[in-house]
Amino acid sequence: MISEDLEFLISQYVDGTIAPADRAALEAQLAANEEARLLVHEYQKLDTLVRSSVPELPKVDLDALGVRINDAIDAQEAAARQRFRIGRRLGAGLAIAASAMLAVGVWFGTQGHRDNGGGGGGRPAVAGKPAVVEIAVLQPEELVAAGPVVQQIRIGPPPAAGGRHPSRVVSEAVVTRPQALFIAKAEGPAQDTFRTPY
Amino acid sequence: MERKATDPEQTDAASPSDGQLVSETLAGKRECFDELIKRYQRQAVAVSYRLLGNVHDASEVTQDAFLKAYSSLASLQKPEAFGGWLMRIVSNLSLNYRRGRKTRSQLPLDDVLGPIESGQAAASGQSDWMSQSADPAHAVQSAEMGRRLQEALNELPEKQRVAIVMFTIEQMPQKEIAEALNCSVEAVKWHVFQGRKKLKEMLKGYI
Repeated sequence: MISEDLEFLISQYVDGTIAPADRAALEAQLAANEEARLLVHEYQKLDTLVRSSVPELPKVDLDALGVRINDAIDAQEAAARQRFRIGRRLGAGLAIAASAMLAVGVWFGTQGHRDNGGGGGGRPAVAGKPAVVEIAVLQPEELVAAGPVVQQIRIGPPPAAGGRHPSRVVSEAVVTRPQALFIAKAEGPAQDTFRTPY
Repeated sequence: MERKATDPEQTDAASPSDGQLVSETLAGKRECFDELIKRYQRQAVAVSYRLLGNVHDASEVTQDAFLKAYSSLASLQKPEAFGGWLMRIVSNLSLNYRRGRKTRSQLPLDDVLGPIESGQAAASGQSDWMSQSADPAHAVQSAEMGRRLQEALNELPEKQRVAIVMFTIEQMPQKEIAEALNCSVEAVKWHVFQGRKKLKEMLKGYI
């Protein structure tokens, strides 16, 4: 009866992967153990049987496969570039809208201080209370499309008849929110060169 | 026993190593990845074919594996182990594909065995191994042995099956198989041993 440890060593011996330190000891055992020698032959015959019985690899046009692989990589990279470009333009539009909304909020905040008796440009500090500081937020500059417009996105509800925005107009000084955003396809650089108000 | 030399450093001292090709690819030289494709696509198809038994599926898996390898190349911690890492992707994709196929239909053994009729072999264009024997009796016996072998391989646990396919059939170095199986070389030896033991039992009438 052969132990599993011995059988494992025999398996490595058949493969030629047995450690040199174990080889000499195993060969000594094989010389004295007929059952172990039979197992070596069985494993060798099994390997020969497996290699001779397994079918040949069918003919594959490796050149054509290589071309398909490269085409798939090209398609994947093109899709990734397209997703980045659209995401960047949408991000710029959202930044414009976000800065406009922040400006409205700041203006209302400063108006509230003025209504409470504060002077233009802010109120001086009163003992025990912090000074009110006005923050002027410039309107974001309008981007000029470098190429033909490929997508138009409307922000908010459509303008009412006469072109007047249906929302309540508080003051002409309020920074208006663009009603539409135009995304143009351009041959611009990959890096974002848009200057945000922040 | 001589193993197939998949490491280019063993075949041609002048050609860049896998590690160099990986680094150059990450630096933006796409042609370096083309070289890696040329080096490993045959082996990838072969391993996948042995696991799936279908050359069309093996080609699809190989394409997906290289695509995945290219996308994840920056995550490869040992660039010089690209071959084994790629084989890990190939074997994982093949086994996943196989599991999915198992739930849908019977495993197709026809592509592994090759058609019995020579006319069918020519028409399918997938296997010409049957035409190598002019003796019909021998051909039938070989077909039976091939069928029995594939059935026995299918019964092995996944890691033992992959180890036997890569080591015994494709004669890949154990170090590369260790990368593919994400285990130690000792563990590869153990998987080969256990797989071989089970195969011996299942095929004892043929040995």
